[in-house]
Amino acid sequence: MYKIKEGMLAWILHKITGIAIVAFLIFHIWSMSKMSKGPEAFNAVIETYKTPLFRAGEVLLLGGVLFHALNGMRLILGEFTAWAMKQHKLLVYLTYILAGALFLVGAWFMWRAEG
Amino acid sequence: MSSRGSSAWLLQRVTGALLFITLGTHFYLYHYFMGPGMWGFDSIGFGATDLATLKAMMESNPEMAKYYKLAHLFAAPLWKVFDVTFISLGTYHGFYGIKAIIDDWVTHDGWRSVANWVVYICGVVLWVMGIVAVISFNPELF
Repeated sequence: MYKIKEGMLAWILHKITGIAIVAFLIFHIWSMSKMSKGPEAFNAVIETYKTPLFRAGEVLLLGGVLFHALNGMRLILGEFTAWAMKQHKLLVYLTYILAGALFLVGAWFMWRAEG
Repeated sequence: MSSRGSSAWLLQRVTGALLFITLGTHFYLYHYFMGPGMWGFDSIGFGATDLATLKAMMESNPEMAKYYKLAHLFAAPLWKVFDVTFISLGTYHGFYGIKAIIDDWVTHDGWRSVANWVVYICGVVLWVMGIVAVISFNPELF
């Protein structure tokens, strides 16, 4: 099914980013569920989200999410249209380029966002 | 491929496409519309539960007005519908994805079954935690 070389790395990256996103989802829902207990609990959770380490992690997460989302769209296109199946190679490279470009722009604005 | 397998296959594509929109909105709101400086309880207006206080806060800093609007959005029913949908899509898509990886890699029938049950239970527990957190969230009750 995934014998095409160009798709192999993308397929592995899809699995790795998927696992990483689920790991974050577990942490995210668990920590958010503590926020309903009042303003102090709300702010305590938020303070951990504001630390540089956490914010750096979120920038990484943006990269993972961008790749997973765009690669997922490519997979759907390939499964439902003959055109995308034919343009497989091009679309794999386009996924890397688009995810990479959006990541650089997105990471920049995300990191410097203050207000 | 069984009919159950192919409908799960289709559902993974549908939830994936919908997550493109919902996760995009979620990410945009928290990281671009408002930055970390606005993540605090008071700074997004949750502290001001009565309209007079809220109005005074907005007048003292007009730049803050959009965030106070957002605070009301969080507690609004429509926003809760969005979050419930988002959490449901996310937990389903994420945990089904883990199950698919297990199906690909765990060849022993017994262990695969055990692993799938663990994933299934974790997914349901996390989904319930998320739904309860969103629905019960009411800053005016604090």
